[in-house]
Amino acid sequence: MLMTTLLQLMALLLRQAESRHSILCTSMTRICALTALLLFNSISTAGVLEELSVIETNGEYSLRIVYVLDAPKDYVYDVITDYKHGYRINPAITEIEMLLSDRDDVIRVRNHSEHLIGPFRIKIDWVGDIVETGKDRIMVKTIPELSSFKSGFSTWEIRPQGARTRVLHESSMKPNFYVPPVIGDNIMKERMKNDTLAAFKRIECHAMITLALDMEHEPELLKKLLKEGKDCKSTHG
Amino acid sequence: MNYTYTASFITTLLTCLYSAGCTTTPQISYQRDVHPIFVDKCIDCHTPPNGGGYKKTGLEMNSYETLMEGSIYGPVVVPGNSKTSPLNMLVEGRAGNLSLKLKNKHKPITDHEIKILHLWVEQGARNN
Repeated sequence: MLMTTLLQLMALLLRQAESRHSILCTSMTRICALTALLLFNSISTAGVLEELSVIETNGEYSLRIVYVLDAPKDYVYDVITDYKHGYRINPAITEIEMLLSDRDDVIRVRNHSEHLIGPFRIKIDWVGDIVETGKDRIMVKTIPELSSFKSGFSTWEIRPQGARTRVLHESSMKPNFYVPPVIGDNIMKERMKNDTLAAFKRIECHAMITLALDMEHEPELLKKLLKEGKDCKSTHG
Repeated sequence: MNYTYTASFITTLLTCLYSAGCTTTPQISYQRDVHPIFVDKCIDCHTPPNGGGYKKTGLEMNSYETLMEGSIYGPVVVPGNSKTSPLNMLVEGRAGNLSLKLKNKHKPITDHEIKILHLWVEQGARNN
């Protein structure tokens, strides 16, 4: 939290410094920003998991997660709604396509992902309609006839909590692929939990990178700093 | 007569199977095959300090080492796995509208070049 606040403060100072054309002020702020980035590197993601559960009823899996991410709300929102870069959040995705929708307020997305579960490779196709409302709520409806699911629905609530962001995500889905009873159910539930947790950590990581990018437009330096301590893609749950 | 016929049939079948199985996949070289594609299609934008793609993502494509460092968002090449390599996803049109943007703004990447990049990554993305 301290780190997020520091980064936000630096971003604000930098903008003010640039507007005043003060070289000294800009330099000082940049030094502070880099210090903040170094801090960011040396501290692992500090999000707090408040709740995570997966239940299965009659073949339908329902997931609920409440996670307080250590990143500002707008940045978290931008990462979650950056659908064409979805593979950054879910590395199992091998294809993403933005489809045409017949409604202006609906974003239709298709993706294909491949999951290795034990000796089995499961290929999943998913097409969903996404509706964003008020910059803090997202609703996603799976289109079963174009997906590997009989049904699916999920919501995201993204609210600021001080300098952090509280995200409530609920989803339910009924797979249209074979899940072996008992063992398969348990593997599926564990997998959903782990993948969701990993995804949230990546969202936090990317939100922090975007924030850092906004402050310091020197990717080479940023890359060096970030590579030393962090790599969002290798973030595990 | 029957034996002769069967023997010749089996020989023909084995020859067909052998020639099918021995269709060699070309060995792709980074220096010879891959780097020239990057020079022609990617480096303009992915060169520090002012390249647009570089400024946006930190991805530098001038050398094997910088390419493998990836962007600020993580690796762009996953050796041995072209399916999940962002580089391949982008050029093959598997990453949203980004591929379309690449096609419109820059020299379009050819199917042959896409295949070279695919094979190179599948063969381990070595600096050979």
